[in-house]
Amino acid sequence: MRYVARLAGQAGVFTAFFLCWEALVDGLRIKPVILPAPTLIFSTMAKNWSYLLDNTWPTLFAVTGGFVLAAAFGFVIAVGIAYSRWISEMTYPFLVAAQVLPKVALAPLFLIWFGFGLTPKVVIAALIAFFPIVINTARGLGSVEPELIQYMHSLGASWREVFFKISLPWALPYIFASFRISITLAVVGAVVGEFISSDNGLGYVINYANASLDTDVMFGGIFALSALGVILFLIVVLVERMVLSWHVAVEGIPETM
Amino acid sequence: MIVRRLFSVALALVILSGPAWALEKVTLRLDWVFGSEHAPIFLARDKGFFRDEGIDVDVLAGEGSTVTVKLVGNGNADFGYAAADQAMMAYAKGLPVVATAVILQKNPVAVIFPQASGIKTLQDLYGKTLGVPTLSVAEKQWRYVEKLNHIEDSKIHQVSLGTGIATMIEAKEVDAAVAFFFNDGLKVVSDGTPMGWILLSDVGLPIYSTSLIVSEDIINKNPDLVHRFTRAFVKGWTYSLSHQDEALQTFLKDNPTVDPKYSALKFPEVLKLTQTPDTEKNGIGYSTQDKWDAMQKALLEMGIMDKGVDVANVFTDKFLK
Repeated sequence: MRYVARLAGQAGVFTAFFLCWEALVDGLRIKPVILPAPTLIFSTMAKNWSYLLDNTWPTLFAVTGGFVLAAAFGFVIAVGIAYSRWISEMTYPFLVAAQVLPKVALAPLFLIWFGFGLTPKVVIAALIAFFPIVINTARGLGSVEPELIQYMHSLGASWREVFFKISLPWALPYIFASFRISITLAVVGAVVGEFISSDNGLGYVINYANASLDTDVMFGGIFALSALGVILFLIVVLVERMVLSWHVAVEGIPETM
Repeated sequence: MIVRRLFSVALALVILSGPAWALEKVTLRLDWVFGSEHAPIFLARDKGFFRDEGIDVDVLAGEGSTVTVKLVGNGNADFGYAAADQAMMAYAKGLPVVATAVILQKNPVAVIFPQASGIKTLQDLYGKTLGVPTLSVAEKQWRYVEKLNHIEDSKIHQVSLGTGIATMIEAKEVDAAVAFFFNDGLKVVSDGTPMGWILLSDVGLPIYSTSLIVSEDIINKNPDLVHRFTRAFVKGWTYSLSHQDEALQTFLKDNPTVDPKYSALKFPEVLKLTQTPDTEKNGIGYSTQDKWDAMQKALLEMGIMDKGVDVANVFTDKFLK
């Protein structure tokens, strides 16, 4: 029952938002080419659903590819940071500097370095999604209670056993918290790549519709992208719940970013 | 005492700022970042052509014609310098903007390539890598030209490009590209690689390009302002034709960060685009119903526009005189 009430409330926020938007556009007589009303956007989406769907796949590939890359590299580096004070101290400034670097500005060059296809989009998505994973995973691995590890060692456990039986499970809530952030960042990254150059994908739809003054189609692309981001986020949450079903308080997962 | 002093200061300010106070403040939004293709506009401003018409113009850089037509059509900018096809598309989409002077009579979109590539005709592109800017209407213009010239799409290796086309050619990532010849093409030339180009307008796409535009609303409310502004704007171009160096130097003085070599290469090529038999007879900016009709027909065939408009509403020559 509480669940239903919450869902209704969440839907209510969306409805209120779109109602205000609709009223504003109608009341101020804003032209559709400047800002289309939600009803127009939804009917345009219904009319062009196959076009939008066809262009969702390339974006989905870029997002997933970028996210998986970011998770893999991020995890390895985080392990280094968590277990070596030296690696941690040496790499932190570089990681922070790389993080604040505007990757959007570099994107046009990625085209030259990585070619025209999917690769530059995957790389940009990975670069943007990478940082939260590194920081959170390192923090998770580093926050294991030392007594636990000492206890395991006193029982004669190997380094491997300590890592896989204690540290990693301990860090998982942190890691999943970073995954939630990173999957949405990967969506942004993939679209940045598509803005620079592409002939398909939702970034292409948005940009081309803008150039041809089809603002309703442009918003259709934006909504589709938003929906894709939400679905991917929910998938991460779902996997998290399955993996962490043993965890007492999944709701209380630390959100560090 | 203080009140009286304040009053006299205020009075002095009013007197001192007399001429400026009388000028009508107007914004002009360009199509792109400042380049020597805008030199005559800076010249008209600095030489007082606008001031002579009672106008104080604020020239603002642009982010593409698409944005410019939206800003002008929505009343966020008074005048705009934007592509004629974008103005027509905006009109069809319910943003009534009107071209009062068609400055670039020929579309600068071209297939550009290093001369060393040996490309002479469109057929020479077969087997080569061609960069196509898929995020702008230039792609549709290219597809139209391909069809018109019976070019087999599949025989050219086509890749999508965004910005930085000149860099992609210099890095030899593409053999040729569809681009503004006077921007990307001449940028590569100024970096030392001789370039050639085939203008799309020479292979079947005769469309007007960058024009002075204003909203229908301003024309209805203040036709006199539109008349004076158009006159001053066109005078800048006419004067620049016979005083190229002065116009270029004015532009370079106002924009000290731009590359002077590239600017000097570009400017005469831009001026050439202002010249057609129509303008030789009737002056810079003059356009004809026939050519606007032809352009609309092409835009409809390209699928960029889905319904036609009465082209007589989209342009007018009456403010040129």
